[in-house]
Amino acid sequence: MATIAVPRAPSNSIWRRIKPQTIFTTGLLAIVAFVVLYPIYRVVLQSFDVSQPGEAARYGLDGWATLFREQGLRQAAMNTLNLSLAREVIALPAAIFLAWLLARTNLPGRHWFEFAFWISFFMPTLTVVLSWLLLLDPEYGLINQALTRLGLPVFSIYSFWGIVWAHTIAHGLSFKVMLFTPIFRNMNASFEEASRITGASALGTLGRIVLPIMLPAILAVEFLSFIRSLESFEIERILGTPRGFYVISTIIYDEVLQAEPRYGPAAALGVAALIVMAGLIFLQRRMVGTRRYTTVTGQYQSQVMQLGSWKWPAVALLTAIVVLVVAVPLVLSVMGTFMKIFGFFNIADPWTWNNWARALRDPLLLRSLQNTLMLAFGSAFASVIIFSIIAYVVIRTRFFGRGALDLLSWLPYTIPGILLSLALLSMFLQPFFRPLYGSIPSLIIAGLIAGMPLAVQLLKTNLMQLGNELEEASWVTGGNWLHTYTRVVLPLMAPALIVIALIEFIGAARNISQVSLLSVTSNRPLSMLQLDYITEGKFEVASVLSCCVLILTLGVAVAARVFGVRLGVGAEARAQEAVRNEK
Amino acid sequence: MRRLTFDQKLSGVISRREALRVIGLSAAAGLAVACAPGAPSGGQSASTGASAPADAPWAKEWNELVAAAQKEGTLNIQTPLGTGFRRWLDTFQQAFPGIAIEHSPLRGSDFAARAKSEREAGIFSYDVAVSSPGSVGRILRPMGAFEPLTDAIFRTDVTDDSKWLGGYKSHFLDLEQRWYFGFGADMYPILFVNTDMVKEGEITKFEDILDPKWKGKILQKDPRTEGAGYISMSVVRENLGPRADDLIKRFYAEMDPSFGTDDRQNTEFMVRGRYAISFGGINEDILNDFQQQGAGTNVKLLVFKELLAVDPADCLWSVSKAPHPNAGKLFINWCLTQEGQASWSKELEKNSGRTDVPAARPDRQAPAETTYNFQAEVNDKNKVDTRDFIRTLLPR
Repeated sequence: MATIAVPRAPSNSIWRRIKPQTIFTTGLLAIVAFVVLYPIYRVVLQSFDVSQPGEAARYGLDGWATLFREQGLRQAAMNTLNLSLAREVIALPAAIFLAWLLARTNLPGRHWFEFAFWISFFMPTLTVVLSWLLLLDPEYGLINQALTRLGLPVFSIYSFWGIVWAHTIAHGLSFKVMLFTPIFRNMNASFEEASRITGASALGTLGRIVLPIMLPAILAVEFLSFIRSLESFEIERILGTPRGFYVISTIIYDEVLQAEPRYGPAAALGVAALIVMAGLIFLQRRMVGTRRYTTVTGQYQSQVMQLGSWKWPAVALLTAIVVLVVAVPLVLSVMGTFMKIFGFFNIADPWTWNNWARALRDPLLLRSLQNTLMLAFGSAFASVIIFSIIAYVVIRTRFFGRGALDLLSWLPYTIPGILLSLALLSMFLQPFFRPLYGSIPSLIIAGLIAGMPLAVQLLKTNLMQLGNELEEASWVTGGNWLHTYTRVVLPLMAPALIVIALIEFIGAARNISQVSLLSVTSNRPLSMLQLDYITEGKFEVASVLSCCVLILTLGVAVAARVFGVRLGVGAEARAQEAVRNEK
Repeated sequence: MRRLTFDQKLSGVISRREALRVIGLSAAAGLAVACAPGAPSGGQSASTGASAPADAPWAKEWNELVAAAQKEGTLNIQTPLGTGFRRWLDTFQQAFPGIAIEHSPLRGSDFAARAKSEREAGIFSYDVAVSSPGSVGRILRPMGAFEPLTDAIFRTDVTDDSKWLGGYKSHFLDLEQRWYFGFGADMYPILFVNTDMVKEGEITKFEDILDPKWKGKILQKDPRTEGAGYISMSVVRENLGPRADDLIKRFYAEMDPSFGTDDRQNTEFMVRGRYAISFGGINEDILNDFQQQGAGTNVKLLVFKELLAVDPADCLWSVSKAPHPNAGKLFINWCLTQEGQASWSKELEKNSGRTDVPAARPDRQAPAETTYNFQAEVNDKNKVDTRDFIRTLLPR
C-alpha cells in the first residue's frame, strides 16, 4: 500500500537557522572590533588618567586642560592642516595623471616606470630627506651652491615649501601612483572608446569619463593619503623643528619623550586628532555611498589608449619625475654608505668600505635578518588573507555588521603612531594575548593593525570595480563560496593584493615605533639594529642596513612584478598587444 | 631573434591560479626557512668564569654567586641604545660563559613605559637596568620597581672609597645613597664654539654669549623637551645662583637661538659652520666621530666655572622581583669592578669614576672642583624648575 510521506515540520531551533557564514563574519567583526577598539580605548583612558606613577588610577580633566593651555597648539594644528592640503593639492592631480599614463596608455616602458615608483615607495623617508638635504640645504646644498654661483635665489629645504617638496618626493607621489595604477588598470576601455568615438580628446576623456568612474577609488586613496599626511612626523621633525615649525605629531612626540612623559596631554591631543579624522572618514563614506562603480564585467576590454605624437614627451616627463623621486635619493643614499661622513666630500679620503664591513660583521645581523624575514613575509601573507576577506565581507555580503566592519577598518589610522605603540603594548600584556608577547606573531599583529586602513580600502575599491556577474557565473556552474573566492575573486584582485603585500612587507621590515616597545632579544628585527646605529649618530652604517632591507624588498618586488604584469584583469589582452607591437 | 607565435607567447602567460599557487608556496617556503631555528643567543656550557682572589674576604660568596648565576643561566638587562653597550655586555658574557644575555636596548622613556606596563600586568622581565634616572626614576621608582643597590654589592674592591673619585658613596645619586649608582665621571660638555668664528678669549663667561654679535648664531637642543638644552641651563642656574634667571631670560629674548631635536643634525650644523656657538646643542660622541674623520676639527669645547657639571653617563639599578636575582647581583658587582668599568670605559669611550681605570678621554675628565651632578636626585628640583621656567619664556 502506498504511503504518503509527510514532510517533517522545520525545526524552530535558532542554531539551525544561523548559517556558518554568519558565525564566521560575526566572529571576524568581533576580532577586528577588539584589536581596533582596545587601543583606542587605552588612548582615551590615558587622556583622562591624572594619577602619578605608583598611585592608584585617578581620572580627571587635567590632561585636556593642559592640552588647551598649550601654547602654540593652535599654530601647530594650522601648520598640520596647511601642510596636508598643500601636499595633496600638488600630489593628487599629478598622481592621477601619472597613473593614467601608466595604466591607460601605450606609454613605452610603462611597466618599468611603475616599478620605479614602487622603488621610491620602498625607500626609507629618512634616507630620502637626507639625500635632498645634501642638495637643497640653503648653505651647503649642492643645487643651492650652483644657484648661488649663477646669482639665482636659493630654495631652502628648511621651509614650508621645502617640507612639501620633501613629502612629495619621498612618498607623497609614489604612494598614490602605486595605489592608483592597479585601480586605473581595471577600467573598462569600452567607456573610453565610446568617448573617443564621439570626438573627445584623450585629456577630455580623462576628465569627463575616467575620473568620474574612478571617483570612489580616488576618494578612498585620497582620504587615506590625507589622514596619513596629518600624522606625518619624521620630515617635519628634521626640516621643521630647526625653524620653529611644529605640527601636531611633533608636539605629541615631544610630550611623550620627556623625563616625566606627559601621556595625559599627549593622549588628549591624540583623541582630538582621532575625532577630526573620524569626521573625515564619515565624510568619505557618505561621498562614495552605495553608488555603483563597476568597471570590470564579463565584457571587459583592456585596450590602452594610443598617445600618438605625445608618446615621447610623456616618456621624457616620466623620466624626469623618476629621476627626482628614485634616482637622486637612491644614488645619494647608496653613495652615502661608502662615505666616512655622509655629504662631506671635502675631508681627506672621504670614501670607505668600513660602513659595510661594520654592518655586515655585526654579530646580531643574521639573527635580526632572520627575524625580519619572518616578520615581513608573515605580515605580507597574513595581510593578503585577512584584509581581502574583510574587504569582501564589506562589499559583497549582506552581513548586518558590514558597515561597522568598514568603519572599524579605518580607525587605526586615527591613532598617532607613538600612542598606538603604547596601547598595543598594553593589549599584548592582557591575559588573552600574553602568550604572544615578545614573539614574532605579536609584531605581525601590531603591523596588521597599523596597516589595516590602507589595505582594506584599496581592496574594497578593487572589489567595487568588479562586476557581480563574474562570481555569479561561478555559482551558476556549481561553485561554492570558497571555490568562487579563491578561483575567481582572488585572481582578479591579484595586482592589488600584490601591492598590499609589498606595502605590508616593507612596512614590517622598516617599522621602528611599534617594534621598539614590543620586541625582545629573540624577535628583534633589523629596524632595531638600525636604531642602535642611528642613536649613535652613525647614519652611514644605518644606511647600509637600509640598503639591505631595500635589496630584500626589491627582490620580492621583482618577483611580484613578474607575476603581477601577467596577472589581473587584461593579462591576455596585454599579451596580445605585445605580440602586435612585435609585428 | 626568433619570433614567437601568439600562442607561444600566450603560453608564457602564467595563469592566475598557477601564479597564486606559486606565490603561496613561495611564501610558505620562505616562512619555513625563516622559521628555522637560529643560532643560540648565548649560554655555552658552564665553567668557572671570573674567579675571585683566594684571599679576598668575599671570595667564597663570590664563587657561590657565580655558580648560582650560571645555574640561572640568563641575565635580563636593559641599557640605552648603542652598539657600545652590546660590546660591553659581550665582555661580561666572555667572563661568565653559561649566562646568556637578554639585552633590551631601550630609551629611558621607552623602558619606563614598557616596564611599568609589564609590572602592572604581573610580568617581571628585568634583572638589572642601566639608565639615566629621568623617566626611570620618576615612573618606575615610585612603583617599587627597584631594590636598594647597596643590598646587592658586597665586593670590597667595589666599596673601597679609594677606588672611586670622591669616594664610593658619592656615586650614589639618590638622596638616601642606596638606590642608583652613577659610575661615569665625564665633564658635562655644554659650550662648543667654532674657532673660525669665535676668537680665543672672546667667551670666558656666560655673559659673553649675550653679546649681540652672536644673535642668531647660537644652537641649542630644544630646551622645552628632554635633553641637553634645559639641562645646560640648569647647570647655569645652579652655578650662578639667583642672577642666572635674568641672564637666561636675556639669552632667549635677545639672542634668537635656534633649536634642534636631532643630535646628528645639530652636530652637523656646527661642523658645517652654520652656527658659531652650541650651548647644550650637540652630542659630543658624534662630534668626536666627525673629528676622527677630519671634519669639524675647528669645533672646540670651552670650559669655565659656571658651566662645570659632572655627567655620570649611566646609572646602575637593581630591579625588584628579578627573574634571575643571582645573575643580576653578579652583574651589579662585576659592573663596578675594575674589569667591568675598564670594559665600559673602553667600549663607550667615556671616563669611569674608578681611580684605577685609565681615562678614555683625559680631556673630558671633570675637574676636581666640579660639584654639581645634574643626575643627582638632590638636583631634580632645579632641573624641573629650569625646564618649567624656560617653557614660560618660550611658547611654541
